[in-house]
Amino acid sequence: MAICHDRFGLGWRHELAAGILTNLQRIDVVEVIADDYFAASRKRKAALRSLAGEVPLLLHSIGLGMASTVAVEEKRLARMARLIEHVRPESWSEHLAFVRGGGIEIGHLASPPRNANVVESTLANVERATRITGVAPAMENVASFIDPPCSSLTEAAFLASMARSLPAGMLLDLHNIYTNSINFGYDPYVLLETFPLDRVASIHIAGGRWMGRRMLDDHLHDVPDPVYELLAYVASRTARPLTVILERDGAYPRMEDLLAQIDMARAAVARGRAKVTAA
Amino acid sequence: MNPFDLQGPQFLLLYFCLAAMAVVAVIVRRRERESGGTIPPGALQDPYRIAYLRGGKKELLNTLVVSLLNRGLLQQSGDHLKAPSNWRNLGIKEPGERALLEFCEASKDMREIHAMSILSVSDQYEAELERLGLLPGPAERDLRRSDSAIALLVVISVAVVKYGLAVSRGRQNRGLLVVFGILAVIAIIAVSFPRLTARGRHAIDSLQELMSDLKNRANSLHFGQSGQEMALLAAVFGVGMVPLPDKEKLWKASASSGGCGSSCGSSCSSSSSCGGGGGCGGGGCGGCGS
Repeated sequence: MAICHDRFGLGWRHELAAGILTNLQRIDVVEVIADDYFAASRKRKAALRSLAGEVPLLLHSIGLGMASTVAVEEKRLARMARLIEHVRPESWSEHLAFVRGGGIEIGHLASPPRNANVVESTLANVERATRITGVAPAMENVASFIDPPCSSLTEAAFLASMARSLPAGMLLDLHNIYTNSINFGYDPYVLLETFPLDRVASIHIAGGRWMGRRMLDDHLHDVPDPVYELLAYVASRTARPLTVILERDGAYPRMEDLLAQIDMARAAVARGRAKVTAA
Repeated sequence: MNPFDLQGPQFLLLYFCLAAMAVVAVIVRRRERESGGTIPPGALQDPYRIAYLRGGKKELLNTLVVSLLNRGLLQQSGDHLKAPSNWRNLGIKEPGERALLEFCEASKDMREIHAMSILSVSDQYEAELERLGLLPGPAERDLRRSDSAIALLVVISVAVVKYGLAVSRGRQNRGLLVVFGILAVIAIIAVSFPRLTARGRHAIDSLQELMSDLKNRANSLHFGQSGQEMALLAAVFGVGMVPLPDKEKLWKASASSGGCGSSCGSSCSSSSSCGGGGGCGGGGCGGCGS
């Protein structure tokens, strides 16, 4: 489905359901965590399908672990395919992360080694996922506390290489880039300068917290100003319509506060677009 | 073998199967017709429309009361509600809210509110929900009637023929056939004319599923601070879920409604504020004459 204008939405969480449904005039799109629905009853899935009729719905998976040299198990992809078939989302996405190894579930989106081998095997996993689900996923960059060992590429080179090769492009998480830029001491604008922004399928914004001198992407806090600035920068560098999703996983503020953050994202994109027009 | 020659119990078993098939056929045909397509965009958003879909005028009025109370636009005093004197200056545009506030310019209880006329508002929701395919429109009602007529024709005809044969053959055990026939007619009528279409039922089920968290944390919501959540809670799950202080007091009168009992005498029915006998409860006419 071709998107022809910028859209702004929110991650669907049960705690926010009432607020989202009564404010759809200010929410253009919702993103649902797919893993919450794999084992759901027919009734629950049917409700999700109804939601997809109300508002453009994106599915976001967190448990496939596609950025791995190990092939994603077919049963996991088949489960995703069934959910896509049932809900018929506009699109779906996963993370550039691995979540298990040697039969052990990490319980965390772990940043993979940034090297050509991982790029190649991730693309193979994406190709399998596309074949089984019938829809190519967008892939999201993740935040990290440690520089992944066995890396031969910088984060910028790794993400740019993935973005250019992924059939559905990237889900660019600006808070993850902001977080990593703090944790590893680089300039996020330099990373974005080399990033092929025409390959951005959608954008995540979120908030985190300081842990000593490091930043944790916990989705429990308001979006910080630098992330809005990064958003404005992205909007100024691509003519592509953007779909921006605010992620919030807990410590929920009033719905008005979340809507205000969506409005701030709207304003940031408008600022960026205005720069393009002025130029 | 002619099935009408079967002995009593065997024929009754056959008749039961026939009636069950007729009931299933009516349900399947109705669901196939009414559940096509997805729920139209916008259908799940407006609490008042949801309330009307779920329970008609009564639930709409309950949700209006909850929403206005939550926003401080109705004031509760014991079992009575009253609109603030300045409500007309507050820029309220929603027709249902305006109608209720106007009605409550003089203090009213829930029984009186349930008996009030909001015909123009109800008609608007009814037409809108019919257009969205969530309530049956005239065409769908015709189809329901014709399906039900065919099913009734089959079960009644078979019962009448068998009854006639039993009479002509001097059999006395005809009572059970009559009972089965009546039960079959009741079952067919019951499944033929539900208030909602299959799509409407699905919309309510979906909302209740999507809002399950809201229901679970209903008791932690604070009346007066929870914005639209309170109205949605009432609309989707009913006023019983709303953590309204003094809820029992307010809804006590309407809970006992359903026909005028002996204590609801002429002083009530003649009162202009009671709005007709339908809303008068057997427990007395507390609001009348105020």
